[in-house]
Amino acid sequence: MVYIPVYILILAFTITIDYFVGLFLETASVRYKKLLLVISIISNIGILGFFKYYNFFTENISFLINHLGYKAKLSSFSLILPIGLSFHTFQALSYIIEVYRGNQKAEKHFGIYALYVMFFPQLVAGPIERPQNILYQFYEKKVFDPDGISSGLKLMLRGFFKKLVIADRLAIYVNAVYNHPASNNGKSLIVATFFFAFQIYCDFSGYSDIAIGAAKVLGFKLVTNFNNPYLSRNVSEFWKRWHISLTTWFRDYLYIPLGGSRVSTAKVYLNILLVFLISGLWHGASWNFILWGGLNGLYLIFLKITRKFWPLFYRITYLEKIAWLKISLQMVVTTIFVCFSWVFFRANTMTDSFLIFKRMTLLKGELFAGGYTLQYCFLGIFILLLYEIKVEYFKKTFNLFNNSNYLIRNCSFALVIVAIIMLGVFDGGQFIYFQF
Amino acid sequence: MNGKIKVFLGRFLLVCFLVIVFDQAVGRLLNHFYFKHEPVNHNSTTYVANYCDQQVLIFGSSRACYQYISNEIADKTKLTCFNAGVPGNYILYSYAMLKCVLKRYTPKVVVLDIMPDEFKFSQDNYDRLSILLPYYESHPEIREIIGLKSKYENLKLLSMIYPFNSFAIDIISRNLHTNKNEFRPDGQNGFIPLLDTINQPGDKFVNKDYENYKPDAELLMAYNSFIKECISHHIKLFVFISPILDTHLFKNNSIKIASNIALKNKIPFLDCTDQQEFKKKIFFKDFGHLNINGARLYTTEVIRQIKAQSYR
Repeated sequence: MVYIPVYILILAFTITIDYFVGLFLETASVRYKKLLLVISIISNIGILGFFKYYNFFTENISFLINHLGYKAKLSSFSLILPIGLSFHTFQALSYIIEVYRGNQKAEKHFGIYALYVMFFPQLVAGPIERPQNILYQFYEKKVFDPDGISSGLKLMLRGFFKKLVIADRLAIYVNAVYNHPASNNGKSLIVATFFFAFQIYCDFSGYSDIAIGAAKVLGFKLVTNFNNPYLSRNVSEFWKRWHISLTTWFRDYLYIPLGGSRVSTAKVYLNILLVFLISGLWHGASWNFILWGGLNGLYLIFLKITRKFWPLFYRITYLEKIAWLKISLQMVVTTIFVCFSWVFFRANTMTDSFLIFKRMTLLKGELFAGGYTLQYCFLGIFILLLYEIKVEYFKKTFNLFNNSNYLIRNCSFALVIVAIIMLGVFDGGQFIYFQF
Repeated sequence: MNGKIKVFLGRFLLVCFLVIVFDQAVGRLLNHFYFKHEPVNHNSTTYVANYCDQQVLIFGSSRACYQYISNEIADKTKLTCFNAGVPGNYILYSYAMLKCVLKRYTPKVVVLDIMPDEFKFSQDNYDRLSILLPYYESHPEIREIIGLKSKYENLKLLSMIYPFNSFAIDIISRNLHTNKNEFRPDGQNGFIPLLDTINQPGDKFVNKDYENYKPDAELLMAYNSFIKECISHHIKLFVFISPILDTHLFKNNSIKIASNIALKNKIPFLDCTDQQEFKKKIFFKDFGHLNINGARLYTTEVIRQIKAQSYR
């Protein structure tokens, strides 16, 4: 990560354009409204496209031209991606679209609009806010709210635990295996893939917790971004619980305008696939991300095609009568499918992805342990799952962190801090989603 | 409003107080169990820092630990010998261990095994100093080296638990298991043999990589200080770079720098990275580590060097 002061001009440029487009949108005629919307979209997506996708497209076009027998080498630039560009671009777009649709009044105060785009807790990695949820909060008079501060700090603590104790520990194992796929056997690759699923979850949801918590301490309420995704019972549910602010963004601003579910079946499938392919591309300029998105789109299409089959399957296998077994199996199967797609997301190159799938079948040899890293990783995941199962299914039973006894409650928080000092990784790297 | 602030501050202070209490209690518990057992083979840090008394000490990374057969060196030189090499730890660790040793006694001979790219900056070199954190309290002589880990290290070390960060499972495991003594009958004085042979197609391995990097100042300083300490304590020091399987077309910067410094201080320096007699797969576990066959051959060469220099 490097500090390039001139990059602030990128934000200044899009903020200024969107601010004025927003103002003009309110008074413009229908014809000009569309033109203004297009200007805003082009300027926002143009900057994102230039910094994030220019080299990707030129490399692929050059490859295609050369493949067709012509000699061409399109010039590429050595660009450093501005931090959080994808996030604030989408946040700015949601403002413009909402003003265009008439759901949100244009913000008259330039400073407040700039704050909406640059609000520091969520500037670099979300959650991607809607103007209706956050703009009015900037006008509210903030009073000292000990409960808000306390619950914000608790959220931040949960985020630090996820990031330092789980994500950064898992990263040690995952990096060791995924950076040398040819030297690792199937067992290690399978375990590393499973670990990566939790690494990226704890890394990103940990960041979201810290961001939401920090905002709460200041008296602002941001949207929930994760809701125990690995307790989902199918991939469709997974996407309703994973990176919720982005999933709903794509739903409201791309999937529904494309026709959503109110078009022919074939078109619905095409829309789903398209949305997921674009979502993959949003994550990164690489075929790996596109494949990751595409694969998840295919999962959802498969679910839609087979939706009538599953109730029958549960009835035939009597799983319907053993609810806990049915739910557990659904969760396990969903996690396996999701893990499978994460291979594309994490592998360093496309070649590596296929090598990893190939080597996953070679189960001979010892599982890579990396000292006690394996044990720490399983311990972290165990604690996480225990907590999330408790939150999901046993909300009203014994509660440590919201206990009515203040001593038990405070002791619990103190112990979490102690656990972070004892088990956390303090030499770890950046948040994964900062690169997007 | 004031009442609310008071209640909030009260709660906040209570949590802080509880954190301090738990930190002290758990930290002391971890400290007790970390140092409770007799030093065992896999924890040569405690042994070297607090107990060792051998006349020959070998310092370095995994390339020291797996490649210098201490018992053979002891037999042939008629001097007691311990291999203090620890995988993944380099010159900063070696220098810290030397300082701990010199607080207690002065060995006669010290062998320092360095990497071909010993002075190349890597954050790992500093992160891995966490292995020294449990010794921060009892070994003030290494505090300066630990301070290189990060600029906030001294602040973090106000916590009693922090020195044992990521050691919890290790501590539980070593206290549950029965390997109580360093010198079990099968103990090899710190040397750990690698039994496998590299499984890589081909016979000749040529590395054409060339990297012109600026040496890391701290690592260079540690190497210089290591040599100076040995000279001032009249220790016979040897600096070796043990064999590697692949032939490098371009000499690494660090080798030239280490060699020049050693030469300037009249320290015997042996670079085995080009020695053809070792360039055979049967001697290697992987590109950078000799297996037991290679270790035997290499140790013979090390002994020859020690003897030759000692009789000069």
